[in-house]
Amino acid sequence: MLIVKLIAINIMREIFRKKDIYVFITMLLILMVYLANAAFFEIKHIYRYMNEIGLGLVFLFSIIIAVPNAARLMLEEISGKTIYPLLAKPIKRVHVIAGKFLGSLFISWISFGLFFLLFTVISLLKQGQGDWLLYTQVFMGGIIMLAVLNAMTICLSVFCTFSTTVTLSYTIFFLMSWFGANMREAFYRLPILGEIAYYLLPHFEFFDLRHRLIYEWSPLPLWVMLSIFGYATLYVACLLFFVFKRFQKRWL
Amino acid sequence: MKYALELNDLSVTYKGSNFLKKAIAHLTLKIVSGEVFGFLGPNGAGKTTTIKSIFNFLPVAAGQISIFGQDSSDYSVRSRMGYMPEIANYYWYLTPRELLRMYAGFFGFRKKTADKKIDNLLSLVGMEAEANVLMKNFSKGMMQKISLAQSLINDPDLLIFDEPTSGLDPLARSSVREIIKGLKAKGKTIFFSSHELSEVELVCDRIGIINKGVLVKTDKVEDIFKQKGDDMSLERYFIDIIIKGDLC
Repeated sequence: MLIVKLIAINIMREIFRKKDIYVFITMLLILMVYLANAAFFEIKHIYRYMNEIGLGLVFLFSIIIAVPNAARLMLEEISGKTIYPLLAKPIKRVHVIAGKFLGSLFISWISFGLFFLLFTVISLLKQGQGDWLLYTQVFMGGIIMLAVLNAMTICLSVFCTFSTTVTLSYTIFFLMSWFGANMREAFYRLPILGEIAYYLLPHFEFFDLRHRLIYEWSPLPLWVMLSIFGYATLYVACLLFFVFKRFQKRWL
Repeated sequence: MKYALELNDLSVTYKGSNFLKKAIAHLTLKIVSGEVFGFLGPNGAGKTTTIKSIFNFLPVAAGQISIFGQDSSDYSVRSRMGYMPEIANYYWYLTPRELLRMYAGFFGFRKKTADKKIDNLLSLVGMEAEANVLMKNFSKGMMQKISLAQSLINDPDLLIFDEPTSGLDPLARSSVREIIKGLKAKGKTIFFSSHELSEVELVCDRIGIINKGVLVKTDKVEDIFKQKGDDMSLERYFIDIIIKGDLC
């Protein structure tokens, strides 16, 4: 466990020294402050627009950070040849995978956490009040979504090049987020393919609970949240198993 | 006789979508504990492939590799090994101290013990002044020194160096040579590949020459000079074996 922790910390050090995350925080801060001050034509419930745009940016920026970061972890370790001194130490390949996954996950969670905190503060200041349970559920949905997205991107990265991994990850993510629920209908001419894609691809729309907060719907029952968590856990485990199987046999 | 490293009938084959290349063929080599073994060969002879096989970076098609009597696939044996790769690439966003601390952590060293070791190692390779400088600013030679330091972090019994002096200036080269001699005096086993035959001549007890994946010769350095006379240099010996065939 110590080995995995050390590898994960190393990855986190890199992202914070690269400083990309600070650019996004600054951009989000500017946009949120601008939105918080907007009062177009005295529209009622204008905070809903702010919440929609603000949450959209929180999720978008988190995804923009997560995907390229997760995609390059394994590839750069191999192409940069830093893998050799690493694996010459008493560590297993599975430790490297676990460390890389946890490192990229923590980076995504930290950046998402910072963005979400910023959004929550500004949103509550504008609204004056809010349902904490709804905020928590949206946050948890984002956290779970990022775990699946990171695992999927790392999985693709052991099969594809960097650019292919990033392109595929974004494509799958946005397609499933927007059309995941209607996938079987979209494939009405090829029903078998539709069924396969429906059950095989990760349903990112399950984790996106933003609309519940924006339109002030009631919070989800606990069993639904647990089901979402269970689905994500199973999916992450399967994806990491594929990464392990592939990386175990890989020539370095 | 105790062997630190044994390669028995080792074969490695590179497989591509439309090619099959035998990189190592039936290589048998035994390195005695405490000896410095120079592994020589022209470019593409199979030196790095052999080293990669020792660390299981490549799958072995046939044969066995054992380290201190343990199978090389047993990762725990690496706690007694140190490795300096051919290309010294490390994480640019770390300082040498951070890098060595991470590697020390892999061996279970506590921070205080690790820091003491790190100070000693950085001083040994002459990099103590750069201990807290990000490695993105380092030259190839400086990276090579860090590479040497990281290979010694666990005070290994078996050291495997792949071209340890490449990219180093004459002063640094001489200091690496002294470090290797010091390690030898401590009874460490050193297996290293090099193109610098003058280096090999000065530090090695025994050499092995590999060509096209086949081990063509192993000999004690002193025996080479005894047999061939004082005017024989290791370079000439090497060229004779590789190009003209053995003079004997």
